Amino acid sequence: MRSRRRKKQTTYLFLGIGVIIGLLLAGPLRYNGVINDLRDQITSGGGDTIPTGDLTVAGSSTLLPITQECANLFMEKHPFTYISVAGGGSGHGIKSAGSGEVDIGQSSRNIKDSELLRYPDLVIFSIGKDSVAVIINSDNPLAGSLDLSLEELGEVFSGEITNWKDLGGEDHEIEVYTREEGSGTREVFTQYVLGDKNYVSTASVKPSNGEMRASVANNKYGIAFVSLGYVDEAVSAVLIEGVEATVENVQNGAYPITRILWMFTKGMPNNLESSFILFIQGPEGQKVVEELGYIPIY
Amino acid sequence: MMKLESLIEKALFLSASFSALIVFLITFFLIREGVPALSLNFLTGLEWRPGQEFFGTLPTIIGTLWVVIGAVFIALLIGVPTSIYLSEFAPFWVRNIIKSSVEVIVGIPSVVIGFFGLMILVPFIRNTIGGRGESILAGWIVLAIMILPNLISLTEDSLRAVPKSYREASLALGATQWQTITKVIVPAASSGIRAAIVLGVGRAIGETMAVLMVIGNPETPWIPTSILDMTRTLTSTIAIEFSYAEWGSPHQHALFAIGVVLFLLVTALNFVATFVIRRNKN
Amino acid sequence: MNPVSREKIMKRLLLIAVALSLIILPVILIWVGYNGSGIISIEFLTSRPRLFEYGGIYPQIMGSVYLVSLCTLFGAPLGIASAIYLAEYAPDNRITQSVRFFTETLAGMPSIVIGLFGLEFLVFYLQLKTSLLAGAISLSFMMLPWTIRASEEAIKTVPQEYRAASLALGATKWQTIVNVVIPAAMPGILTGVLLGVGKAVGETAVVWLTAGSGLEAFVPRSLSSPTGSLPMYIYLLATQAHTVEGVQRAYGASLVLLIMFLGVSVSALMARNYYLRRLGN
Repeated sequence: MRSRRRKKQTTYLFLGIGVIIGLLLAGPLRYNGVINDLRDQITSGGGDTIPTGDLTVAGSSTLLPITQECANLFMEKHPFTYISVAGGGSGHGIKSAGSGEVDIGQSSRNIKDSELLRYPDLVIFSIGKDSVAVIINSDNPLAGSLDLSLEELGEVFSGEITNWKDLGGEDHEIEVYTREEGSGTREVFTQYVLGDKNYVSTASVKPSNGEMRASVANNKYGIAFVSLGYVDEAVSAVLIEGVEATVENVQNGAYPITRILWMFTKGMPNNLESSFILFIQGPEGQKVVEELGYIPIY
Repeated sequence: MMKLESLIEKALFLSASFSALIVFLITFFLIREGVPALSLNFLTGLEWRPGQEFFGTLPTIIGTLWVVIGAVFIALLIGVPTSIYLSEFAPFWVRNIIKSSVEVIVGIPSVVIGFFGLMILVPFIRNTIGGRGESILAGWIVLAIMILPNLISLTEDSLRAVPKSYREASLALGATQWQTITKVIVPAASSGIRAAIVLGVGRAIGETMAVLMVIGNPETPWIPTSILDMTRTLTSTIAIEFSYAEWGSPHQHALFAIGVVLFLLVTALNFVATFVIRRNKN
Repeated sequence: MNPVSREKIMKRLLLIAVALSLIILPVILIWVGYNGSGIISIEFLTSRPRLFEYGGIYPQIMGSVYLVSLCTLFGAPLGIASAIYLAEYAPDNRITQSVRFFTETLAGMPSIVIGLFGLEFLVFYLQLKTSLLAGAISLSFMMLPWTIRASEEAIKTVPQEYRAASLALGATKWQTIVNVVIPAAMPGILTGVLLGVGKAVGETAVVWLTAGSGLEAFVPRSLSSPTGSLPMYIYLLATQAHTVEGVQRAYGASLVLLIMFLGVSVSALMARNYYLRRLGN
């Protein structure tokens, strides 16, 4: 008798667990079904210009905030679309778009010849401009006044100048931060500033712009380079060749480092892809680009 | 009826072999992707500059060992006395409290412990001891917290497994309780403790997130000379660089090759632990 | 020094070590609780992230719940079945020894290696993409050995007389297992599964490589959409936030994650006690 009761309760327990798991899983599936039904109704009503469907975007972490925010706005405007945005880095974005794993790839560096050879049918769009700023801690006595040439910067980041004293500051080691190999921001910085030199081996590698900024904000003797959009009051930007790192100075060409933010599709974009890219290139998208501290394309 | 029974047995055997299948698949894919980069130079090279295709991992391997050995040492310093207390002195209810509190630590997500290290330990080290704060020392403390629980529970198990008669015999000979513990019980449980250490080392080698957040990860790691040096570990190198490595490039193969090294290290440790435990049983 | 006073000193040293290991948990809990409770609100728990470090964490909470439920759905039945085989059927030969060795190897496998494998095999080779499904399957590889270990242990502790009695009544081996052994081993099995769930909830490295960027603003709509998760969210905000708002959100999400984990642990304890009480009757 007791064993039967026990068996019954075990059955109930399993049933309960099953129902909970079932409910959890049913959520997304059912939601999807409803959306598909609605979508069918609308498209059969002749609404074929309304963008519908799913879109996947992946790539550069520099572009991630822009794309994520634009995707949210786009989805609010077009309720029958679903855009998922993932990071992974510029190289990953080019590779996934080229091989068709995602619909749109994004990169904060120029596409390499080797990549073009491997994925010849990539179509390229620019969605914004950016620059790379060098930042130091706001408590550093040099904050606000430090002015370096590209060459001096190269010497700091390659470890030829190692003490703040040599730049007119306190007698303390310069603590350099850098991005990981393959980062678009790092490649741009290398191209403009370091050339053939190696980064100093004691440079601490941070895997994102945000982490670079957070590290310098917490380290009085730190120096790092970040995407222009990440410069804020928590850190102080270094003048390069006497020019301040501001949106205007990048736009008018006075600030020496610029780069373009790219998106890719494999072959010509379809209806949904092109409406999303046009949305980012349009006034609403470019407003997001500006709000996040990057530079609009026009 | 019998047919059904044997069918069930086969189905169960299949599920049991599934873990073996996964391990085989992991080995296969790691080797397929990693072998192109594996070479003597990969293991003994001193320079890690993926941009110029220098893939020397010796400093990273030594950095990993530094971090792991220090962490296990700290965990032992705290863990063994705690287990001795638990198994020899603690009243039942105290033991319950300590054991459950320690067991909960196992489950604290490593990223939360890393966050703790980043916000509390790193600034503390920078302000009181010096250096950048992001250091081997910070890695030691964070890792020690993570391996402590398993170490305590395994060590306590092996201490409790020492037969009561040993204790009684020692005490009857006039030894104090402390002498009994150090001269009789701990030596009798030593192989269990050794197995716990080996498993702790394995866990520490494989830990990624918490360590990654506090050890600094220098551009080109060097062989560390001080506990305030930054370093890299095998896991942190993979985690930081995999997403930006160009697919199919030597860099990506090198990261998979680091995965192979990790895999071999951990499997070897597992082998040793199994061997130690088996010998312990005999 | 005489043995007695040395005894006293030693015992004091022991107590210091005990205090150190006892203090870790409260320190972390209080630190997270103190810093994280301020941000927790209905708004924070039910809205989506905005502009990286603003907004709420609803998609991340749900993402973690989905990931872990799916992972349990794959991992638990497989783990329990393996445990039954190892404990009840396995003859002590080379094959089962190696199965056991591989299970242990999988248990010791660094999470980043499982993540790399998930990325290469599930995401690229099987083309599951960076998705809920790929993340959940990779997580279940992590969970599997823990479930096997705990369940096997639990099944082995069921007294031999239970089996003998059932077999003597004419039940077949499988009937004995289903009707007698498993119910008796249930507390241990449940604890094992829930321990595995606890591990999966907090796992970061695997999810990072296989499930998504972590900042997804929507609850996954299908198995193939990328999904956010609390650990990834915490990692991103903890390391990259630059405003107080962002750091607060990292604390808040840590608190939610800890509560979820403690919830799982407490339910594991309760399940164990419930079954133990019932078995005691």
